[in-house]
Amino acid sequence: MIFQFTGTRIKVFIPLAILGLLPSWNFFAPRPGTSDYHLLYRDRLADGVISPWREISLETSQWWMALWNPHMRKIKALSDVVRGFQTLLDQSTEQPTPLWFEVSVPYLLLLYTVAYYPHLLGTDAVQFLVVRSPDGLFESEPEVLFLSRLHPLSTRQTSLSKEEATITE
Amino acid sequence: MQSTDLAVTLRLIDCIAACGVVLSSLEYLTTHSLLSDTGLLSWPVHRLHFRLLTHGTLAVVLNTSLAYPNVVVLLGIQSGLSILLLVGSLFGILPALAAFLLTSGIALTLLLFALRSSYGREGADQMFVIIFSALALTYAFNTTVIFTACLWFLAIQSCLSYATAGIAKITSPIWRSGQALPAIMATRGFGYYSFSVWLRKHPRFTKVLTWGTMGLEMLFPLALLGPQWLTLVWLLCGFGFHISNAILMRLNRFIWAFAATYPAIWYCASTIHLLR
Repeated sequence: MIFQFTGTRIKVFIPLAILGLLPSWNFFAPRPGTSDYHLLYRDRLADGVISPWREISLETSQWWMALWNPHMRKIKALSDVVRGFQTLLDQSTEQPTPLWFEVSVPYLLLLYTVAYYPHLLGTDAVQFLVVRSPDGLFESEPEVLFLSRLHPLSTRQTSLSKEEATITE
Repeated sequence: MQSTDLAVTLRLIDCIAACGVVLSSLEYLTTHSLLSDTGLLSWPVHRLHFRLLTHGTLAVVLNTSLAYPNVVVLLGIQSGLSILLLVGSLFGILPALAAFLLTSGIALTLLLFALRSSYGREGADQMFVIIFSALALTYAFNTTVIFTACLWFLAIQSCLSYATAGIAKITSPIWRSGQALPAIMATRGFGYYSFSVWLRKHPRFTKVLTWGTMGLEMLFPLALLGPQWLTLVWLLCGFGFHISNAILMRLNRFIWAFAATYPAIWYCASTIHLLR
């Protein structure tokens, strides 16, 4: 029971928690998740042109997902990675972001994900953006959580034509 | 309580939990690209969390099973073992040794998956790990005392999980005010937008629903301690709670994970009732 609340977690039990043998049963409490996170990316072409933002899309809900919902893994994974990312962001007040931040697991996971999505032909760098959608509780505006720097891409990862690039508003 | 009741209870738990793991592993198999080296659950990146996973003999051994695409084979093994357990338990044709091998195999695959990535996991996954670890230990010893201890462990663990969730909610001013439910329902990931709109238009009902949920969760241990009719009511309410979560929040795996503990709760509650 004492393991349930963050302030009382005892480090020696962390390995058991990682394996799931010491579970956490908080379930949307005490702070419920009331926002969606969005991961967007854009390309920089070799001639310096920057593409519009494109979102890593998540499937919209369907009635049959009450029975069969493989998409929840992606939604949960993205949410967890971004929360981990935000925790690190809160710990880092330096500008520009320090190197340790850019080699952290959440950052690398987000970078890997956008790097291997389709890109415009001729892309030589990619940049990602993490946005939190309006909070259903406080009815706040969308908030940009983080804008990465441009990361170089190897040419083999490019495959989209300019016509195929979608505009995200 | 007779040993046949014990055996039937364990078989029920085996069947329901096995269904849940089959569902979970098949869902994962259809989205296995998430587990690829370039996916959100990339192993080469995630193992950077712990030095033990990148250097040494353990890292080499784990890499064999957890690296992509080998991890897809692990998922296939998990679903295969679960199907065998389900069929064997359903028809009562599972000798103790087979039950031990199957449940420990499933437990091992679940533990390996837990190690592979903490991202993307949810409460249902945690419960499956607990259930199958307990079942594996139970079938390893294969005595009435151990069987009974397993059922008590699962029953208490289940009641604790609900009670903890309820306490975590009631300590939150956001939940106590009734604001949490409409806000969660407004999210794309876990919500049902039209229901959120309806909840906002009916704040009194929302508050009653919120406090009802917190009450159901916090008082779930009454299913063990109260009279038998109360056990039935609480289990039916719990089942209904998970069904509604599946419909509104698409949390489909929770039904199987938590319903698998209900036979244990019923057995233990019946034992207490008989002792009175």
